[in-house]
This record gives sequence, C-alpha cells and structure tokens, in this order.
Amino acid sequence: MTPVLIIDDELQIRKLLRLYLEKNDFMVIEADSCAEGIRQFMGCKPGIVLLDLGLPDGDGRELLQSIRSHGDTPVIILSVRDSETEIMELLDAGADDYLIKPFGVGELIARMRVALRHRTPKEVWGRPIRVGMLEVHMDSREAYRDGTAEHLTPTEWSILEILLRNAGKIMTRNQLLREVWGPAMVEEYNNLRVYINQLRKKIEFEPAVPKVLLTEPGVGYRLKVET
Amino acid sequence: MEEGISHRGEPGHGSHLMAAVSGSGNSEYLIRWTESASRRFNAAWTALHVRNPGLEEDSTTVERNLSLAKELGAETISVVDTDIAACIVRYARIKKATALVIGKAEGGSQSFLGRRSIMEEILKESGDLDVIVLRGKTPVPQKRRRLKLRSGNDLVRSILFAVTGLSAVTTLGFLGQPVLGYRSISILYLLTIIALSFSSNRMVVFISAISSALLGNFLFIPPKLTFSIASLEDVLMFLAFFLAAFVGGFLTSRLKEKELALSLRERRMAFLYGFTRSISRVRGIQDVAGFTRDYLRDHLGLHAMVCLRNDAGELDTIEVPGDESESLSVYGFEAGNARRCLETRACVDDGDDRLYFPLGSQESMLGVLYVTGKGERTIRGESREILATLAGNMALALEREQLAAENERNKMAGETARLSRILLNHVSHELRTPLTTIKGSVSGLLDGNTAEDPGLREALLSETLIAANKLNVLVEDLLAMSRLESGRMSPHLELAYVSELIGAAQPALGTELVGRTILLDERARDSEIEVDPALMTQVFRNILRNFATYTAPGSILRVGVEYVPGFTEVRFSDDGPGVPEAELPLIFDTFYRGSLSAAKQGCGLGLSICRGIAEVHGGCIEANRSAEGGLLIMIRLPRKGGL
Repeated sequence: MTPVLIIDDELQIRKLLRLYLEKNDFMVIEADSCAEGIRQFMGCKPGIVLLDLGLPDGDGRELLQSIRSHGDTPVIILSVRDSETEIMELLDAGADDYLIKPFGVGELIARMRVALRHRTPKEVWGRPIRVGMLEVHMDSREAYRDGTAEHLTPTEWSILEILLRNAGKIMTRNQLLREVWGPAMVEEYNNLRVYINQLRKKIEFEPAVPKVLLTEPGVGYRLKVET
Repeated sequence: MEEGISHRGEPGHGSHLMAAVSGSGNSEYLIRWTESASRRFNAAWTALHVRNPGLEEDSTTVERNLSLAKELGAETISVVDTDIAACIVRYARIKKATALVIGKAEGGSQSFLGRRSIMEEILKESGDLDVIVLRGKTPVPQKRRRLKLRSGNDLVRSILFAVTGLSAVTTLGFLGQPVLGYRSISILYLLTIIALSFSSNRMVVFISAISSALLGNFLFIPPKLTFSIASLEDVLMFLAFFLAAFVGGFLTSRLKEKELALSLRERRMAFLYGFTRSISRVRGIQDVAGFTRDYLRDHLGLHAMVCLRNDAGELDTIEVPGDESESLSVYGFEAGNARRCLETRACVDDGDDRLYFPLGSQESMLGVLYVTGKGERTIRGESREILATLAGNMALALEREQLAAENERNKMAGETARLSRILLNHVSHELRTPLTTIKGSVSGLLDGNTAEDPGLREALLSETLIAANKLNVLVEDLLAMSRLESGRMSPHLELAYVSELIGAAQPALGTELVGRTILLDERARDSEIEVDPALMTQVFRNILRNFATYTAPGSILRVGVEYVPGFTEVRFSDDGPGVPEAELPLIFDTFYRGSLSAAKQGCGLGLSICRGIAEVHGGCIEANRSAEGGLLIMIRLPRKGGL
C-alpha cells in the first residue's frame, strides 16, 4: 500500500479521492493547507504527493521546493486551465506531472502509476517496443515500419529515447532541450518543434489525429505507449 | 457633404475608411476625425496600427488609441511590419477601404537621410486609393508668431531716430547755409519733427521739437550763436514753426497710438474668437485642457495647466497627452492658491505673474486654470481680462464635455446592465439543464431498485458524465469570455504547426468527434502560424466541437491553409447542413445560436471566443458557405514579415 498525500483545501475533492484511491490500494493522508501539507509530508513520508495549486495559504512552488529538498517523491500537480505558464515552471522545478481540474479519477490513477514507475527504474531496452507505426529496437537503434527499416536521425533517436524512458509522463520542452542539446539551448522551442514534427510523421498513423506523440500546448510533449 | 471623400459612387453603404494610427498624441485626433467622418458617410471604418519593430514607440499610447477606436466602433488591426507605408496601403486594399486617413508627418515619421517620410511613401503607393491627410495637433516646428498683448516699447529706437534726424539736418544746415538760407533750414527742422511723429512716442517728439527750435535759433537764426533773435519777423516765424512742429508731432503720434490700440484690440478679439471657435470643436475633457494649453503656449508664450474638481471636491491635475515632461510645479503652481481661487470664485494673482482663473459658473465650479509666464513674460492689465474671458469660454466647453461624458456613462451603464441581465438569464438556463441531468441520474442511482439493473445504471452514469462535461465546457467558455472582455488576454506568441494544434485540440473533446473525419490538406500539414499555442488550441477545439455538434456522424471536416498578403488563413470547411446566408455574419456574436440549432446544446459562446482570440492575435475570423454546401470558417492570422 503506497501512502499518498493529498494537499487540497476542498473537502469534497479529498473525500472523493480518498474513496477511490483506497479502493485502488493506496493509503490516503490528507492536508488542507501548505503548512499542514509539509507537516504531514515530514511525518508520514508518503510515496507520492497530489498537490493542488489553489491553496489559500501559499504558493505551490515553495511547497514543491521543500518536498524536493527531502528527496524525489513524485509530485502530481492538480490545477485549473489557463495556468500553462505556472504549470510549466513547476514541472521544470521538479514536479512529475499535472492534471487539469476537472479530471477523471481513472486518468489520475494512470498518471500516478506512471509517476511511481519512473521512481523504480526498469530497463526495458532489451526487447523491441512498438511506438505507433514503428517497431523500435533501442539497443541497436533500429526502427521498422511494416517490416521495412525506417531511418531516424541521431537527434530523433535521442528525443525518442528520452520520451520512451518517460513514457506516459509529460516532458516539458525545456527538459527535452536540456537533455538533448544541453542547457545552452533552453527556450529554443523552435528547434525542438521541428524535430518533434518530423518524428511524429514517422510514428503516427494519421498525423492530423495524433494518438502517440501528443503535444500539450504551451507545456510540452507526452508519449503514450505501452512499454 | 461629400467633400470628395469617396468618388466611387454614393458614399454610404460599402464605404470604408481606414485610419492609420500611431503612437503619437496626434492619432487621437485622427481617430475622432475618422469616426465622425464615418458616421456622416454611414461608412464602416478600421483603425490600423503598424508597428515597426526597429522603431521605438509609446506602446501605452498605441493601446489607448486602439481601444478608443474600438470604443468608437472601429474594427482595430495591429500588425508588425518593417515597411510601415507599404503595409498600411496593403491593408487598405485588403479591407477594401475607399479612403485612407493619415496624419501629417511629424516627430519620428519625418524624413531623414534623404529617405521619404511615411506620409510621402503612402501618397506615392496609394494609387487609386483616396488619401486624406489630417493636420498635426502639435505643430513641429513652431512657426506661428506670438501675439503681443502689450504695445511695443521701443524708446531706444525712437531716440536713435530723433538724434540721427536732428544731427543730419544740423549738418546739412552747416554745409548748405550759404545756398539755402536759415529759413529753409528751419523748415527742414519742422519736416524732421513731423516725420519723427509718425514713428516715435510723444515725449521724444516733444523733446525733439524743443531741441530743434533751440538748435535752429542758436546756430542759424541771426544773430548766430546766441539765443536772441534780431528781427521780429524771425521771432514770429520761430514761434509759428515751433507751435506747428509741436502740434503736428503731438497729433500724429496720438493718431498712431489710437491706431495701434485699435489693431491690438482687433488682434485680441481674433485671438479670443479663434479660441472660442476652435474649442467648440474639441471633444473630450482631456482634449479641451490640452487644446487650451497649446493655444496659450503657441499664441501668447504662456504656460498653462488645468485642474478639475473631482467627485470628492479635490482638485485634480488633468494629464494631457503629449505633456512636456517638466512638471508645472517647476513653474510655481501652488495648490493653496488654486483652492483659494476655487473658493472665492475670483482670479487669484500671487503677484509674481502666476494667475489662477476660476472655471465655471456661480452655481458650479469645475476647476481652475493656472497660467504663468514662467518668469519670461508678464501678464498685466488687459491681458488678464483676455485670459479671464478665455477661461470663461473654456469653462463652457468643459461643462459641455462633462455633460457629454456623463451622458455616455449613463448609456454605458444601461447597456452593461442589459448585457449582464441577458448573461445571467442565459447562463442560469444553460447551467440548469446539465445540473438537472446530474441530479436526476445520481438520485436515481442512489435508489436501491435502479442500482440492481446494470443496463440502467450504465446509462444513468454515462448521462451524468456527459452533463458534467457540458458544465465544464460552459465554465471554461465563461472564463475565457471574461478574460477576453476584460482585455486581460495577452497572447504569448510562438511558432506552431497548424497540424500540431489541431491534434492537441482533440483529446479534450473525448467521444464528441466519434464517427467524424478530420482531413488536413498538404499545406495544413506543414504550415506554421505564429500564435499563442494554448489559446489557438482553444479556438480549434471550439471549431471542432461546433463541427461535432452540428453535423451528422460520417461528416468530414477539411482543414486547409491559404496564404494571403500578410496573413495565413486557416480554413475549416465541412459538409454539414451549413448556416443560412443571412445568419453567417452573426454566428460569431456572443450568445448567438443559429435558427437550426434550437434542438442542440450550446450556449453561443464558443465561436464568439474564437473571434475574440483571433482578434487578440491581430487577426480576424469569418464564416461562409463551403464548397460542399456546409459551413466554412476562415481564421486569418498575421504572418510575420511577410507577403
């Protein structure tokens, strides 16, 4: 039973999440403010944190920082729409994922599982992985489309590798840029955008209706794939 | 009434004026002029602002100007281009403007290094387009001559004339005495005095007359070098000439003074009349204050400031656009004196050429006009009277503008109240429907009997989810609408692929699009637009949702991209039932729902948000009939640096 800390000031939301999460084998700890959240975090050492951004007594960034200063417990941000900039900052500052309210609990559990999985690294490179239209062999850096070899440039390979390692999880544009090109390229979104578009053309069945390599406007990219 | 603004047939329907707005203070005048012209011709009008990224410009003034234009009913467009003139003409053509209104070149737009000014370039490129050039409100450079309120006191000059004249006659007398005789010389003295009286003041003429008489007597009338006169004849002649010189001089100089006073008076009248006539045409309290300040500065070289009483009875300084950066407190404005002026309702003079004139009638004091010569010019006597009259005229103009403003406010308040009533009625209705569904289904689920029937349970739950999603859409639309209305939506522009944003718009629609196909044409797959990705995704999502709501399953939505000068056009065309011709222009109006949509859900906000977002991007949105007979929606977005 993984302990999960819910920091949200809305009683009804905490109640609903408790019902559902307990049913899914989580142990629920509640907090209704930042201060309470930090106390509970220190005392109970939860395995994952759900953090609402609209807390009355403070700013999610500070809370995230103090959680991060005590290790890498996964943090999922719960937020309302139109706060893309803030979400991106929090993700860059170490949050693992985010959900826009209102969200389905099914989606929440899926995101929580992804976030928890990344904390227990698992080497999956040994076998071929299906990414949309492609069958990818990460070890040998080979990709096949309907049995014929498909060429990917080294940059496309690097991007694909990072996305695959974080499959299901949001990757902000800055995270991708930093990992592929290094810190000097941060905020050079255009570069990244062009590569993602190329990659998408090779992966997606129908690029107009992307199902695998998704863009979250103003925030980043997410690769939806079973590994 | 036509004044040659449009030569393409009758002005009226179909006329379109385009005002080229900049960050200069002058643009406000340009906007107001265009507005009143458009009203007279019953024409549509557009305010266009072209920003050259290489030039510095006062962005707050630009924003204020554009919002003013919008308030006055203009469509406003803001674009970025390095070639301002070409861009303005291009847009005038795109908008099919019949006339282009521009301001006279001034300040930053003046030509330099041999380059033509923007105005000249526009005139050159305009071709068959009418171009109306308006005057600048702030004359640069200042060429108007200042009006003197006091007669000139050029004593030194007249003394110089007198001395020169008398010495010339005396010298001539010495040289020509043998030929001319002393009587001719006396007549020459007399002529000199009469000539002097035309240009000199009375005292100088008088002294000149006495000294010429004495000089003539001493030097030329026998016996010479004495003041005595030998013959009685000469005595009489001397007296007669002396009297004639004196009287002549006196009369002509008085005549001249009268004439001077008359012309001065005339000029003062013209000054006042000019002010009264001009101020009656100035609109807006701020402009009245600004105009008065400029008028006093340009015509009298005086510095003025207007303070108006606010609701609390305190005096507020009126900020005038284009105000010199130096504050008037430097010129010795004292709030205490201004308050005293307001209380006593009389002119207050601090004795140091700083005057405070009350503005307003006995019943209602509007404020104070502060005038100072800034130590360079003095204000006395009649000038004060004139300034008092001017202050009276100005107060009338202010009173008129205050009434107009109040009227406008009342009208606005009425309109706001009406809109918010509609909004409340509408929204509460739209909220109630899904809420009823949710309450109904959930209470059904809590009922033991229902819980045992898995099919019904499933159906009730899925209805609840649909209703919840509808509520969510409504709330998001309302939030977007309120952000748009309050002008808080400022796009963070980035390049993005059209295809990418269309892809991003779909997940939130969930099952709504099931059975429908979205096809991107070749260009749409690779085209890039410069937009706020999150906002444009919202636009695309609303258009897709609209498509899903109003078309049958199996319908196809084609997405294409066209390039028009300066713009990228994203076109969505479907093969659905379409919208009746007459309703096409209305579908982007807030709360508008098509006549065919009666049975459908939706609150008429989606497309109106699309229009709002397209406009904050400097673009526009239009609807038409698609080739397949369905609806065609075109979003036109500015394209950077390009044709």
